[in-house]
Amino acid sequence: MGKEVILSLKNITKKFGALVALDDVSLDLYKNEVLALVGDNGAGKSTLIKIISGAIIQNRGEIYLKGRKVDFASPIEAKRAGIETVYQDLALVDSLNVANNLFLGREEKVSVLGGTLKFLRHRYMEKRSKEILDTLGITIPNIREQVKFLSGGQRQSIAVAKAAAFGKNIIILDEPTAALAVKEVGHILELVKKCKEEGISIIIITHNLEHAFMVADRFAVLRVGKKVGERLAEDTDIDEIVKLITGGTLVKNGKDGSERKIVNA
Amino acid sequence: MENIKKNIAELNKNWGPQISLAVALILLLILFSSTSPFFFTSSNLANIGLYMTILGVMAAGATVALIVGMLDVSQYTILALVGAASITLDRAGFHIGIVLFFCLAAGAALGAVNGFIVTVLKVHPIIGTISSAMVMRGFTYMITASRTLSLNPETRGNYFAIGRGSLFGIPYSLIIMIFAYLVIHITLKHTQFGRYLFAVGGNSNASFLAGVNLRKIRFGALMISGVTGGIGAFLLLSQVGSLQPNVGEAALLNVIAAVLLGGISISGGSGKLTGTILGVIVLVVIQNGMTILGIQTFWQMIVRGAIIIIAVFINVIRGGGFKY
Repeated sequence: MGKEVILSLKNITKKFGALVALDDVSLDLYKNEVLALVGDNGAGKSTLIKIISGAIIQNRGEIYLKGRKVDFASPIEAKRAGIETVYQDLALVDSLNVANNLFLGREEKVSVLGGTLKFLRHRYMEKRSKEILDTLGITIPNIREQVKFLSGGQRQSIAVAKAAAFGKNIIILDEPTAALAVKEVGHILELVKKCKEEGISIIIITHNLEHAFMVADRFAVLRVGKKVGERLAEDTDIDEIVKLITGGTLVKNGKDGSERKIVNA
Repeated sequence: MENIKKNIAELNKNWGPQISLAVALILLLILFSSTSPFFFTSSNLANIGLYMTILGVMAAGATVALIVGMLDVSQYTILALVGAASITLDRAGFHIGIVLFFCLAAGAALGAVNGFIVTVLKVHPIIGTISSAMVMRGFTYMITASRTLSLNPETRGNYFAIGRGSLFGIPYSLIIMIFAYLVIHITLKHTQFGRYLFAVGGNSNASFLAGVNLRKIRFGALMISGVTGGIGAFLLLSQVGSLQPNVGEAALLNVIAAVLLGGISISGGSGKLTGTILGVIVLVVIQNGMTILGIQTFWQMIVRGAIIIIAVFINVIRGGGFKY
């Protein structure tokens, strides 16, 4: 894997009053990788992705996107820089149809009378929506169906597809498999892999380590606001990640048979 | 068989309120025609038609506001204040064209005041528009000195030519109303602003995260609602030629009743103008029928209140109960 760093966080600190939510966290995201950001409740995962997506601003530390320092004052600025975030329940408008949701905030318009009036290009957006879904292997019978009539998995697929279609650099997925039926989880994880094949870097937050291991190339573990470990997926297993998350110690046999002691904090 | 079932479900999903309203309308027409010889006469139907245009135009504006999830109950008061000011302008010698322009601009301006109250001061839309309506009603009584105002007898013919005139048998009032529906329909279906009305009404958080300017959309919706109040004022002057300062006070919720009857969801995010216009027609027919049958005013009030409750109840069932 070419180790081109696309996003670099340096010494990020965020305080909410006396509470230190993130303490001097540095983290790199490489091009074309899936990074699983894991940790217990209150570890600072959500705070970190909100900082990356411009929803909140860090007290200290810098963010570099492709080597250039960025300061996102709002989610819209992060979007413009090609960072798309799929929040747990806030991704779609139920009463709009599939195509409308995919293009929400980015409607294609045609100017009439020299730009005094602008009308929506319904057909074009519907055609593009079909293409976007086809590329990612998502099957939605009717693109004009209101999303409230779709299953949780289909809705999540559309949310991810929306991020993938417009997130030129990075997409961030917040618990994409929570609240999904078992058979739908597979679809979403396949979709994450597809997005990676399309050349996008992905940060995925999940509590489900099995799901994380099915897609992630690398793990970053947070505990009470600090980064306590980074592991390549191929060099680690669920036990070790759990130990990192909970702060326990683990004794494990190394590849050469010797005992390897991993102590945290 | 499966297919027919599916088609019926689709039909109900998309056009349920409209179909039930059309059926209700036919039943009402049969009921009133058979109980009163005066109902199905051309003069009474014309009467219904004219009254319908004022309510209809304002209901279209209220639909826009409700799609974003805001109840605007100030429209009839906007009508009263703009109407009173317009008559004052007419009596001061201003041309009808200027008065028409004033009606539109003043309606928009008062809608903008509502917009300011709701989006900048962040007062809940119902509270905000009720209170602004109280203020506007106060100004209306002030302007009119609590008396009925009439257009200048020398110029009112120009107004009646519009309000009581017709083109190829179609009243100008109706043409104005249809035009307003057309403009609002195109806005809702074919512009980005219209799309955002539905998006913000459906899920304001998701819309915000998608980059929609919530304040702008809500502000715009209340302005449109206000403009339709201004158009209502012009129609009233053109049809009646005079204005009582308490006009619409008893009918405050009529617009909302018609819109809810039309199946527009009170929680926002959806709504069709076809539902709105059918709701308006049904409401006006019920009121007219009751008046013609000589049903006492208190009974009419009771029926009107009950209609709102039933309309919202049906709304609740459709929104939360039925699974397709």
